[in-house]
Amino acid sequence: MGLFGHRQVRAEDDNLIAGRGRYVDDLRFPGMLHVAIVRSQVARAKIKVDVAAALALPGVHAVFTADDLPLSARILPDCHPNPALRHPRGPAVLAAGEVRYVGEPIVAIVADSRYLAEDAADLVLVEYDEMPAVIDLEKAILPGSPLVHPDVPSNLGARIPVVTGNTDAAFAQAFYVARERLEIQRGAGQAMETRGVVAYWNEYESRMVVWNVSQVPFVHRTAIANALGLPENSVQVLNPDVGGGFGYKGLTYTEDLLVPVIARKLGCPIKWIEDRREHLIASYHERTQIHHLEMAVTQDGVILGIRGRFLYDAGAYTPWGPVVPLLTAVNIPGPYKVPNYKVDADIVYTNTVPTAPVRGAGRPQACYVCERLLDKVGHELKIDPAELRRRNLIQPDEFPYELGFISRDGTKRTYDSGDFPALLGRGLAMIKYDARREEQTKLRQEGKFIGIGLALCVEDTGLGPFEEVGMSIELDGSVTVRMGTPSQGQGQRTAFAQIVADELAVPFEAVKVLTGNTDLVRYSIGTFASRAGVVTGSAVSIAAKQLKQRAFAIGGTMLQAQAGDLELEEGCVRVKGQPSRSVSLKDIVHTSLGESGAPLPMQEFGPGMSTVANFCPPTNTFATGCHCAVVEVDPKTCQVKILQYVAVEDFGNVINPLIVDGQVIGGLGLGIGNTFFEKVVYDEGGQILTGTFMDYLMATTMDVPRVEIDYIVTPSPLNPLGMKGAGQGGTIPVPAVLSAAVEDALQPFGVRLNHVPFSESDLFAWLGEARTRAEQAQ
Amino acid sequence: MKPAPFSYAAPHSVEECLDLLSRYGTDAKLMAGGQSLMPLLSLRMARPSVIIDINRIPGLDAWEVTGEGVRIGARVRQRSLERDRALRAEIPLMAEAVQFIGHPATRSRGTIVGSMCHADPAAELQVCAILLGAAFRLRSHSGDRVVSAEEFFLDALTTAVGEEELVEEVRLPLPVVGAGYSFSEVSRRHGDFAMVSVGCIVTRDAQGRLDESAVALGGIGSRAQRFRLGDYAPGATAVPALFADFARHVAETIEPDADLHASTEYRRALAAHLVQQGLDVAASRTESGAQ
Repeated sequence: MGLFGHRQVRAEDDNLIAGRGRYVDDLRFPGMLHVAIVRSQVARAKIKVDVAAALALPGVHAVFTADDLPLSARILPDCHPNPALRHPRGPAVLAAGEVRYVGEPIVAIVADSRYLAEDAADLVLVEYDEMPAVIDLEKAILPGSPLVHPDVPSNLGARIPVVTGNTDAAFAQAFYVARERLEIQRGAGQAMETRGVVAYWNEYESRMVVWNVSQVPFVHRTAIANALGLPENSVQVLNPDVGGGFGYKGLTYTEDLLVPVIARKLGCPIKWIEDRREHLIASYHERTQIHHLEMAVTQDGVILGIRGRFLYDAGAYTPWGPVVPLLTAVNIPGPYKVPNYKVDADIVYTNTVPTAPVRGAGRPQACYVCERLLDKVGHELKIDPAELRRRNLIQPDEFPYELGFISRDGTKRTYDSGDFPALLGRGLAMIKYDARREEQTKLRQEGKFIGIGLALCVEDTGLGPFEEVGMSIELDGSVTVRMGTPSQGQGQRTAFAQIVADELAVPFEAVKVLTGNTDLVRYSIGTFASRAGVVTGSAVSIAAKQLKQRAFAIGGTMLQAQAGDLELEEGCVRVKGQPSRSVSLKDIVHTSLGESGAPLPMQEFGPGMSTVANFCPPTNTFATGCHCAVVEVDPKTCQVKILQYVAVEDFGNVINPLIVDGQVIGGLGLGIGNTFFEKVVYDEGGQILTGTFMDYLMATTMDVPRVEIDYIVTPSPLNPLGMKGAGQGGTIPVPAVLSAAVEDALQPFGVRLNHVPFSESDLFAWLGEARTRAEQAQ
Repeated sequence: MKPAPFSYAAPHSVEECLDLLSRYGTDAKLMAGGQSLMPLLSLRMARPSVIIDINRIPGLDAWEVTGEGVRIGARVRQRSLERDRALRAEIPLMAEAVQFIGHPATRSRGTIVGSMCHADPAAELQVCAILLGAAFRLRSHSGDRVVSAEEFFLDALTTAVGEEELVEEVRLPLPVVGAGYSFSEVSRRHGDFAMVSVGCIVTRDAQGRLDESAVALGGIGSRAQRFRLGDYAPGATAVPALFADFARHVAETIEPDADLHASTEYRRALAAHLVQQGLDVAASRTESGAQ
């Protein structure tokens, strides 16, 4: 093969690096007005709104409250309805008489500029008749807790069990049972570009044009059409360059519907750009889960079963159904053989920002809890952590491996391929595990504390149902690819052009990949869950193969040769072994299109070189990985220094390792944030205390170490190119790995880690508790 | 995150600036580098009706050495402490502290005097000013005055600067001959405000006494605090446990606040650690070397 697997420099980068990227905020249309949103300042209240003063401010054109919206645009649609969620509640587009979290949208102001709109927002009088709120996840399910939705009998919105085998019998035979309360706190996706929407009514075509930053433009097209009472063919959704997605741009928010509604009503272009403060306090969060889990093992540390429950903080609404807790519940066994499993996912409403998938999406939690339990088993039974994992890993000859329960997509959860022992072996070799252990012992005698952490994970990637791709060879021989999965920076223009260049034997530069416009293909699902590369990439490959077959058919007729005798090289169809008998793709297009006014020359083929293909994966592919880290902890300052970080990933066949390296490095950055920094903090009254980047901390380039990346390849049997998704593997195991490493470093002090993220100050407190425990024990 | 409406004035002389200050008083806010003020404006946490931009006033962008010390004008950027070798040599403590202040982009705009006037209790430059015994020259139409750092920093985000006054310069004493200085801190991430920062000077008199050695700590409450070794152990010379005992004393004396990033107890522990370590480093930099 040619370019597949090549570290092709990204076609996107010249523009982005040189400042020529064009984002939604760069759009300027004549007569465009600007929107600012008034958001709730309290966690729970009945509200009355007086907008008279705001409306009177010069430069303000309109003010919208819930009552001003069409009935079809008052509640956001649930894009992932699931019958297990017995009491789903969609967010209101604008709060109607009641608010349920700080940051909930109440009023939209439309003015000549964002400055004026914000001035007017200050003049809106919201009278809050405050009601009791519940912020704490564990308090929300206690009897007598204030109800987030009074029409839902309890804040427990659903309990979803995931079960296989017989846990009671397994636990009855256990030699040892590890029990832990494991907590992951709230974080959020923080793309460099916040959200934004620009909309106008296209008078020429009588349809609504919406520019946004969506990961799912076709989903948004449906939602906008429904909100406006328009047929879907009267809505066009466009995505310019987008500065990062992180999953939260795959959801539907107030402004996605509100801005088109306002544009339709006022008849002029409307822009809303989310500022960072709005993003921090009001865009969907993720990750809060509290787990009470047990792991039963034999004397040798072989897992007999896992059981327990966890609480998932849904926030005030369920905009994406129960996807995140389901993903945790099905991912906890991970790479290990867990014959008996019973875990309940409890979905709990609180008066906080709704939660929805953020890069990793329930899987970092799953990996964290399983690996923490294993580390406890290893500690108690004095089994080396690497050896303990080796004893429990699914073996290479056991694929396809059925876990015994139903997956998130409704199929029997089955790992398609993988080699966990190879992943672990490579990871241990890269950190020189045995030598590190010796070094650790030696350094401890010198008063230095290094620790080793490791974790393996699986990630369900490349989910269905389909993606569609259109592909044409133009009159000049260049190739145009049309697809529905938009880019938030993943490099699709590069990766998919590599596939096409290989199949059609054209130069990389001759391929142009178009996306981010719902007019390009008929149907699409979107870019999320590490699926675009696998699903769209497969459709690209199929489309290119179809064009190749077509080129052989038409070229064979032109060359008077059998298709089987032909080859495609350097943009030409040639008879094998007779390079002079050759016709270029360009000539094939010209000939097959005929001359204007004359009958089509080769009627049997129809005109031109164009095709549409789709790919429908039977179920998910499973990407797998093993990360290992060596850290040093200074027990005086409790500062953690990452000395070495190794990521061994199995993403199947990789189109472009350069791009995938970038995914792993970026994923690690989020993982480090999830371990040490990224934390949304509410006070007891529901006020959010992390409303700026001074308080909501992200890992910077100073905090993310150089990561050594290597790949193990077990091609997926589920798609033609053997690919697996690579978007989240860099993030998932990081909190588990670094927690294990820090705990290992502080092992002489007896500190147990069961909580992420954790700060230096948290470590200091835990060291103190461990010291007290040790003193009491003496 | 757009500022509330304000008027903007850019005076071309100190006199013109003082005119504006006397006209607008508390309605006005002076802006130099804008690295603290602009975010507050954008968050609408500050709503002055007039911004007086001092960036066009000549002369304020200079520093000079006089017999008494170093005078740094109100417009001298923090990056001068990084890039200007002559300035670094005059104030070794601040030259070491500057690496912890924000990031290259903020240091290239932010000013030394501006940071001190903002009076964030976790800011490195306040710690330096308190430790070194800086003085501020304040000007207004009602007269000029010089205010010591101890009198200047009143509380978190609060200084002794009057509503019609311009802080024209900060004055720092020349390095004590033979003394060693050090600056260190622990923050969540590089460039964040310190959870605790410590500036140290170690100096001996002719008899080898360490009385004038001192530390100042930031991030521990509403303003930086200075502790003189001579107040704790008068007449002490080199004693092995002296710095450790003094560090413990300092840590027990301070009353640091807890916030999202660090507890009171953790800040105390950091203070003890950083003071002891900082004094050891400063001592190693004295003319006579470590104890």
